[in-house]
Amino acid sequence: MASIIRRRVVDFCTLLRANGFNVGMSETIDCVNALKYIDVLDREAFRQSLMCTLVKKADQIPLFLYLFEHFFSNPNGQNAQIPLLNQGTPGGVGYTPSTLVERSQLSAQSWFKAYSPNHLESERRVTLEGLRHRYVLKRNIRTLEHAYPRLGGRRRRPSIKGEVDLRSTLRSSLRGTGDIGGLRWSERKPAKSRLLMLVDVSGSMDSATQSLLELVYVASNATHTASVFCFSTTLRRVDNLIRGRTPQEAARVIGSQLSIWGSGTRIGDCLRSLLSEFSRLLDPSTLVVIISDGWDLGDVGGLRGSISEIRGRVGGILWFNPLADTEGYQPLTAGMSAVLPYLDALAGLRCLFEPRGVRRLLAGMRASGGV
Amino acid sequence: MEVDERSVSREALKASLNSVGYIADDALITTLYLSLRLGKPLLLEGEPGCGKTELAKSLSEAFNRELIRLQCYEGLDSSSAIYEWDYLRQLLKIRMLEAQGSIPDSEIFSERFILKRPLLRAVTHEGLKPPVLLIDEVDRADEEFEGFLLEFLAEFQVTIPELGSFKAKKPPIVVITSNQTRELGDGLRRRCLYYYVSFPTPQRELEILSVKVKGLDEALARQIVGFVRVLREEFDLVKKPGVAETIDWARALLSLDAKSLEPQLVRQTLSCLIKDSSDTLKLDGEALEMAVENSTAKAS
Repeated sequence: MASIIRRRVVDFCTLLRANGFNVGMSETIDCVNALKYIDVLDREAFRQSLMCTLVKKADQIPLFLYLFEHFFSNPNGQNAQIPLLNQGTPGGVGYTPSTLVERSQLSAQSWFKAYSPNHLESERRVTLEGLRHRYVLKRNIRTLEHAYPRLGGRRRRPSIKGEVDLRSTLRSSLRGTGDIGGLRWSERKPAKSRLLMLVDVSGSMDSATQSLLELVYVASNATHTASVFCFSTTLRRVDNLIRGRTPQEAARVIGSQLSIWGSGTRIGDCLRSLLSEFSRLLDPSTLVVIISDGWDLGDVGGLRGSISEIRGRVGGILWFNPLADTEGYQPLTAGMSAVLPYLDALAGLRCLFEPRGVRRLLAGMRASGGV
Repeated sequence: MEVDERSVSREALKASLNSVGYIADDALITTLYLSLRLGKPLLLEGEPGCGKTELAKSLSEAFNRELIRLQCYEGLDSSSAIYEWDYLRQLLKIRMLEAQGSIPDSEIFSERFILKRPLLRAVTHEGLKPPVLLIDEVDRADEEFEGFLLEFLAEFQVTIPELGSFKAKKPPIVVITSNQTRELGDGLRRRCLYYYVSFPTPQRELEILSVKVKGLDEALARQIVGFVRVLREEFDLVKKPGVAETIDWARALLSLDAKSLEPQLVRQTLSCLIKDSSDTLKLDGEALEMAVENSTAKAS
């Protein structure tokens, strides 16, 4: 019996390690030793023994409780369905914060630091050295601008498929003798979409901080039509703060002025602010691009209401979720489930950082009749 | 109470703490029990005023142990935490030896000339019962100080270069508290058992009030707990009131012979709960009245 429990605990420590917990041999030994002093059949005491020896930070507690429930509720010891959030593994499933709260019966408000609606002011020291994905990002963002081609732009381009262009025909004739030698044909150029990018910079997105910084910087500078916002508990427009600045200056500005970085999450409230304060940016020529993991413990009904209203006003909504890069990811969190019906596409964040990633995404959407 | 805390059961530990007025959750009792059994320091993190420091005091009282407290602050160094040479006595000794025609020898660097600070006192404690060492608000100390603590927490020993290492014969019971004003290093965390002290449930808070504030009417206690809960959950306060503030407020209301919560009375005594000027503005007339109404609903 003791050896079975020991083996299970060691397996559990491996699982924690794979999920980013700093569990060394000394913690494992402490944990096994602690079990000598409690009744392992008392589930609460067993869980608390593991928690006090293996968890060393408050923000690790929700994930620990989730992994504990899954691992020790599975009598066959098959843990293939437990997602490894940091590294990604096949066979993972989605999870919801509400599940964690229900199962743990703990105060969500005090422990959900990373996924909480609590505002946390902080000044971050950020750097923007290298910009490794600058060119890929720029190309992908420009591709996004053409994601929803709409006829009816003001400019024209030569095209045999279009109509006779009298102005162009006359101009070309005046270059010579004035005789009309041949007709010119042109068509209206499709208008570009105006990008409105919303980047989630809450604590739950911390692992993607560097990528998000690059994205915010490049999106603000790649095209003058893009409006870039960062949000966590509140919404802040950033493109006007960093447009035209060097990466170093931009990093300094973000570090000093964007105190919402690493705070809690209130997606619904932020979308409501967008609707009330920046409604002029929301029209059918706008493509809304949201980068977020969709963790929101706020009012899900409000989130649904806001996203549906935005969807009614704009040309399309694309959602890039870093968790969707994990194979087998399913959008089961309360926030993601609420917004999913209003999205044109849900893709992984990696898509934006890969050459031709957006082009492939759009091709897939067109193939399925999405765009 | 003469109880060996290292061999006490969880139930007895809970009863001992209850007897000195400390009402703890089962999870905290289990963690504390394992900390005593494994002889490992206990690291308590959480909101200010939730009973972290009080736990160490209660532990010392419950088991009749000396409480040695090290209050951390920015700039705290080894001379304030571990030891300091008593330079005045060393100089006097040197003068005496010179007057006798002797040459000052290594004797002046002996234990006699050391001023023991909390960590060394805990290690060299001579009593039969090991003391309770409270390292309070460790997050206020510099990161370098954490380095000093590592040897102590792992081995319960401190090293004085001139004299060597001092190891505790009986390891002290160590309780470390942090208010999370900065992130603690992994080294410190790994040497401790960890527990996050959150705000208590309303039922637990009522129990605490009944123990700490004698003579408080139960209906009023319910209203107090309900109002504090409303402040914590419905107002975006900079400093949420902890249990300590609830107790202070209950005592204040008791001394004013209050029978029930009235907006006017709450406004007059709000300074017991609210410790930040911006929070005071959030509780203007209407908001306060609504909070009192909600608290009554929650209490019922």
